[in-house]
Amino acid sequence: MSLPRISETEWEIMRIVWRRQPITAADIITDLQSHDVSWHPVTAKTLLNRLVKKGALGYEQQGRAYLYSAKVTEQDCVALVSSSFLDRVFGGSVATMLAHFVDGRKLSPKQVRDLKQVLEEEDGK
Amino acid sequence: MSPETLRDLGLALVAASVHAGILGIAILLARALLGRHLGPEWRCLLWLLVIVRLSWPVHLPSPVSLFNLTGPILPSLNAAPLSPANWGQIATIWAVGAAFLLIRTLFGHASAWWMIRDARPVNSWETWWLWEQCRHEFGLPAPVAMLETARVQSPCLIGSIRPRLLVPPRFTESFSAEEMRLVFLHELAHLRRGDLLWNWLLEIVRAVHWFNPVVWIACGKLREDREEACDADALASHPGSNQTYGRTLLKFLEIMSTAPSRLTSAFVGFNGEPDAPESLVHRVRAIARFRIQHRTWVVGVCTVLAFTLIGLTDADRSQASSGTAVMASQN
Repeated sequence: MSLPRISETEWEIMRIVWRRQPITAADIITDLQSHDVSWHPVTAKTLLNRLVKKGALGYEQQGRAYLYSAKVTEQDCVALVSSSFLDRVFGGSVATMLAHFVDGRKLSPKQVRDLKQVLEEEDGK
Repeated sequence: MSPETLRDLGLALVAASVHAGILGIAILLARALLGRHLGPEWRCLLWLLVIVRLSWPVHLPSPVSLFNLTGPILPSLNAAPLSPANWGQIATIWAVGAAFLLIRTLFGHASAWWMIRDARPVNSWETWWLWEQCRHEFGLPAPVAMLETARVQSPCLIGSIRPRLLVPPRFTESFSAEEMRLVFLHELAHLRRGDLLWNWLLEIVRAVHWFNPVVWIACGKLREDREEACDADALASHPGSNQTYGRTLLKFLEIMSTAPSRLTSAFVGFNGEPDAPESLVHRVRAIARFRIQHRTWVVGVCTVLAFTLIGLTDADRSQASSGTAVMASQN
């Protein structure tokens, strides 16, 4: 499944949907305007249509209102933001100045099981 | 800059690097020999000795120095058949390498700030209260903001001047109060140790000494030992929570293995079904085995003192150098 590219302004809308889905267009607009008064309902509706076309949002009709919900998860979209060459060269250095609880790794299920075993081995000793 | 100055600076840099490299190898051996008797906080101090050695400006000849066992370092480097032109080339290569790494670090750090520009304060009052409680428990006076962002999958600290805690979305819902407390204590331990400031030093040192593999290894090991030291700090303030702490760590690993994110460094195994990375195994085992009564300082203090004495001193070649002077005057 290919993920849609979401622009900065569309991102704002997606965030609201992720937090409050399913949600009507009117509620989305109210939320946007509560943070930034300059949001125009027409702009928001255009972006909503664009997001639906891209496959990022889906909707279902309930009575006279349309309820929007996200068709992609937040985590998946975050990963897609910019995967250029520069990113690959400099990306590794993003984490070095931070102090993590556990440094990000993608482990296989077997590797996680191994670690669980190590933890449980010492339990009760 | 004249070729002679370049040569002198270059030699000084390489000599410092070689000294630090030898010290680093000795520390790796000591670490392997002493094993569990050497606690993580002491291992961190030993690595810091290596970092100090890299910029050690004082020449302290001593009979106990480690470098009495090696051949004379600076004279050997001096004898290398390199013309001034060579030194110019070497200096250029070094400068390119160092600049690349420094720019990469700065760019990476700026990227991190850019990526979290839309992070919002965590809106759970109970979580805030827990964070504040832990902060006071660790005696840290300055308030630290807690922000939620999808760009992180494990809580982390950012910023050395005004640090902020970043937590992943739905952190409050996915973890119990006890689990959150332990995570918070780990992060606060980092703060208490000033790790965010140390990061800058490590990056600069690694950039300047990029040609020395022992420096890279030392920085890597220091980070690993640092994590374990913070684990120990957290567990020391809540004895008996070993299993909960370990399970929390594994929970994060499980979550991370199902979704990608950018503020992390990905590790992908290629060869069939590899075992869990050694550093993680070591960390989990240390968590499981941690007992507050085992946290002694005797072995640690003695080891650090010993390595300070033998590592920060230089070879005592007073006999050899007077011999060379005599030979030179005879020619």
